Amino acid sequence: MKRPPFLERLVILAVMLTAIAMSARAEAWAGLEGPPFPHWGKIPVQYYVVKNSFPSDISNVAEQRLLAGFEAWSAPKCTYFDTILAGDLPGATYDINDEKNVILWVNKPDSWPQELGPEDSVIGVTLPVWSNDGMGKLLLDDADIIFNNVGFCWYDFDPANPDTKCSSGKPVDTLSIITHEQGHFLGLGHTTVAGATMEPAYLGGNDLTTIEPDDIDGVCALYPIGGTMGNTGGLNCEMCRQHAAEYECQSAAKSCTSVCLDLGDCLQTCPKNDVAAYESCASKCSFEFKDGLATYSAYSNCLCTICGGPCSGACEGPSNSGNGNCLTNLGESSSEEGEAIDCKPSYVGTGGCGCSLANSDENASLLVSVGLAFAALSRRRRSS
Amino acid sequence: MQFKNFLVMAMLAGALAFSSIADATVMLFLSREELTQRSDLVARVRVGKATVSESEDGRSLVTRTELTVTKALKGKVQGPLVVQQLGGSLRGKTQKVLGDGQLRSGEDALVFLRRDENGKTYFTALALSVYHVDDQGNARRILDDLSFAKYEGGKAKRIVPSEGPESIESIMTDVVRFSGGK
Repeated sequence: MKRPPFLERLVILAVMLTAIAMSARAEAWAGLEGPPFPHWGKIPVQYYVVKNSFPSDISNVAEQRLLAGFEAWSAPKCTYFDTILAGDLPGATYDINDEKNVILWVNKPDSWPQELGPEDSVIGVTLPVWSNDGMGKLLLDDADIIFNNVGFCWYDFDPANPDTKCSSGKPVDTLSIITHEQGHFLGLGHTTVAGATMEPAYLGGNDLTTIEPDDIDGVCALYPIGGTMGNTGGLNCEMCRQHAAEYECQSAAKSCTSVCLDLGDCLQTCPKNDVAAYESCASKCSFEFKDGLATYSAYSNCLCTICGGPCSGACEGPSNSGNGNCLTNLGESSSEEGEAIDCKPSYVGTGGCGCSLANSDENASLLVSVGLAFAALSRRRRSS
Repeated sequence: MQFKNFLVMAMLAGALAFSSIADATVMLFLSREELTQRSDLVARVRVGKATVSESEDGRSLVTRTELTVTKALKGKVQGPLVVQQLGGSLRGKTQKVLGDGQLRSGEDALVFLRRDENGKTYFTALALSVYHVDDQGNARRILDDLSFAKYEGGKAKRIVPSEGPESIESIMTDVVRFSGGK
């Protein structure tokens, strides 16, 4: 058999390599940053709208469109992501300290904020705020979405009358922007997959209330039911199975900033396979970052207490049927299937119900670290 | 299909497959001429120290970055130049304006800036306003978090600007020309 010419073979090789590269990029969604990816700790995420900011041309449908967009993001069976419209906040605006996620339009005669670019160019902006929970996770604290009705006019695309638009500015189809910005709100960045809602495309008139497979991969990776993608089971005990740092101990986690985080980072470097060496190292860390000791101890104490008890939430599945390990605060482990977990802190693996901190070996290691640190720090405090 | 055509198509397919596009903030694309015309000041700068604080109204974080002008191409600079951006990281909290320009301390950059009535300086158009210049004099913008649209016949259409590194001298020549110089 005659071999193809060199150049032809080169092209075939290039095409094959391209195909391999494309298949390797099948999961093209991205987070806002990372990994680790910023995401919401508490679900459902509450958000507010400013009804008196709705543009006049869409005032009767804007809320409905916002709801439809969020519903599309929470619809996949593999995710527990959910939102709830908490109400109307007349006059509200973007604010990182109000602990409220606000969706609003900026209207004339107000001006579009200078920091957000030219008023006749920028259509919509999402402003996410996140912080480190001290356990290596980036938790979203706030996210406001701001739409520009100063340099643009908003209309509701009608498939029956595709040419009907607003006339008071450059026309923007509401749905085309809303669902996309809501993807950023939940923590997604852009994707390279053509046709996805999170693709960098503004195609006026397209109905984007449905999300595509790559978008589903993204939301299910950030908020997976059962800790794994593709699990099609219903919601079961989600509040209980999520990381305690993101729920019951969220307040303590948020308090752990600056020197408390430094202490956490320092403890992460301590050897976890030797209790004596660990305690010595933890003692040095606590001396070096003594100003963070109280907040770190409060945080780890919360984690250990919360996770020492059985799940308090109602489960659709069998109670405490998690298939994981139960770790004592000195890092010893035992298997506890089908029983209430009473040692602290506890760790539940895949499935079932329990006040778990984590569901991966990596996080289990973190948990051991917290437990060890707590024990060491408690001893130090008692002896001082 | 002729082999040459196949070759071209294969290369195009490869380029498409590997191109990385990003978005977050949706905005209209501005040409270099539009950017220059909308800017009060265009300058090549050396990026200095950045400080983050809460805004005066407490609603956001604000990053202020000191810039040392090495060559002003449009507008005049009096005293130290500080560009103000919404967002930043402070006390463990990060706020991000998706699609805004990002400066690194010590870098060489060409920036498009505008001033408000209070003398505060901002980027003219988010990340479109910053060319990062490398040691070889090549400049490029980082547009990963921006999505662009353009109106044609009253209808918005998607724009995917394909920008590669460009000579900073060529960009500076354009800016001077667009601002009425020679």
